[in-house]
Amino acid sequence: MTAPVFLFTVGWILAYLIGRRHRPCRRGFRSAIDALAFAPAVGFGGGSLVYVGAGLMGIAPPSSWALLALASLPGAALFILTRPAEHAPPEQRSSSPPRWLVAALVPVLSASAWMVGRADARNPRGGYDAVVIWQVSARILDEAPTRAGPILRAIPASHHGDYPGLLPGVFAAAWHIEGTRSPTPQALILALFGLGLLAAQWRAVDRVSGSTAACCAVLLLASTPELLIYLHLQYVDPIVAYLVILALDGFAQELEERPLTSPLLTGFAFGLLPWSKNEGIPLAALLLVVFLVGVFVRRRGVILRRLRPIAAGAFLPLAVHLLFKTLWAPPNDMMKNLSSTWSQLSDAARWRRVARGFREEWSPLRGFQRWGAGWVVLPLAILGTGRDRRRRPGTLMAVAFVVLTLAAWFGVYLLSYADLDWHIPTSLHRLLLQVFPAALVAAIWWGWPEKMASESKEEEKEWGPED
Amino acid sequence: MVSSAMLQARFISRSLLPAAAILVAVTGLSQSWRTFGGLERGPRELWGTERFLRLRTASRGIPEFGYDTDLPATRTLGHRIATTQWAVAPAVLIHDFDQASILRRLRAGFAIVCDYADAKKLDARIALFQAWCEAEHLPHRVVPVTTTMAILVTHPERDR
Repeated sequence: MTAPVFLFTVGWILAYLIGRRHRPCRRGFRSAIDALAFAPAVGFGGGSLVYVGAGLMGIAPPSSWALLALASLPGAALFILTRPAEHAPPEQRSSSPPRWLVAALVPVLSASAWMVGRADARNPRGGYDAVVIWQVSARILDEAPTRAGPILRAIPASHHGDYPGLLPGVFAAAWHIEGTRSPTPQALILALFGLGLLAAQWRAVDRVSGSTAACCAVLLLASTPELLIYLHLQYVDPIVAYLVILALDGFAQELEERPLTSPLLTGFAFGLLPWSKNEGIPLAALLLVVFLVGVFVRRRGVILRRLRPIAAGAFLPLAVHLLFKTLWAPPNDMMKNLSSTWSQLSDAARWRRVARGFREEWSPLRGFQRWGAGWVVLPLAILGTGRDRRRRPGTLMAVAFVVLTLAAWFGVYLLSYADLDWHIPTSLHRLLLQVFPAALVAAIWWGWPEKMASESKEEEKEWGPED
Repeated sequence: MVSSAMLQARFISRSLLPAAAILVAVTGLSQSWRTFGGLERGPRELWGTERFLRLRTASRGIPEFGYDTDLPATRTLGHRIATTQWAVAPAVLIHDFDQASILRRLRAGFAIVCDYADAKKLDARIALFQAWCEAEHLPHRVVPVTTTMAILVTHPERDR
């Protein structure tokens, strides 16, 4: 249990130091939340990259403490490369959320943590994919860290040896540091990623819509059944959702030329996306495309200069991912069969079947089971929409990203070689989970923009502080 | 002076939307509670069915199993277990007992649930399995579940 805590703490400290160097004026609670949001990415992401990267180069992992020190190297490199932000707007004091809303956060977060913790205690091994895919890969990386390639290529296709190494890498690193393969570190790693996701959601919403909206976003996300279940089952999809939020918010800041986050950290989260799951590749590509289109529409070529530090941050995860895919991973089933499935795009019955799958997922009955009442958020977002309100470029970018991602997932099923009656019910809800927090952020940015928060501030001047 | 538009905006942003968020969170938590309960009980369609309860009891301690069946997909336990994310014992649908990849797995230590329409077929499978294990000098056991269902288990080489 000590290894995940150490990796997470190292990640938190490094993320805090990077934040202080990038924006010295951002202090107190907000800088702590910033660091908390990036702590799992820096700590666990760094650990998995070092462990798998060393194995790819034929270097056996060193002893426990040496591995812990090495795992902090990617974060330390980001800290050394970080420069203070130029033209950063001064930190503004925003209105505080109502106290009763903050008080409501405590029981909701406690109830969610209790439910996940209780389920973890009863079944610490996780769910089907966790046992059959991620833990199998982690065991291979743990037993043969320098010879994992031939073994990954030899295991049956059901174990998906081609899946990238963020989760197996950090599991193997934690087992190696602790010297035992207890399931406790796995459950703890997922729980800490969940904590990072909530912090990332808070800071993304707080930046645009203020802290009241941020509290609401955390309340909604922390009570979503689909998220809690998959954190317990130790699937990678909540981690993909977490990295999407970090990268999306970072790119939105760059597009708006309000660099709150170090572009190196944004790049690191962006680079970790493909390293987390195969779906991370289209997610990263779509994010880059909507960002570049946003730059083109704004006609602000100067923003493109910011791509250099972002690329520097993304270099290590992308390089390790590329090496993993070329040296170790077996071919991906979907890509292998792609040449024979293009013709499916013209099959009208297939379009109808996929559309039915999407419709069923969002039907009141099934949608309620998986997402609680999360789908009610969209009408709520429209409720807060004023006609004369100008949208921020980052908000438009986020909405475009969510819509394009849903279209891409639709396309994945059209091209799928698998039986749709099996493929859609077993995977669509997890693909939607990857983009659900981002959709929540985009909806709140859209319907609850800063104007509302600034109005509250104006009111505070006249009425005095709230509560 | 505070305009009515400002009052309305203040009411929406600081009262209406947060109250709605709390309501949504409470319903989400109650649904999560039900879903976590469902994880422990297994797939909803199978709650309380005798075959399911027997299989669950028999498969305790088996980390993963293959599932060989001649029943239609909608009637099999393995299909339901493999296509839901039920956490107790992940199943790999194999459909064909004699595949080379399955025999390789059995040599390394594996379990297969045989779930057939006919008890005679199950007996024949068990006889075949036992003969094969003895020829391979492979430690094994048969865990009966019902007259038409059994779990065939081999132990890994290191346990010999």
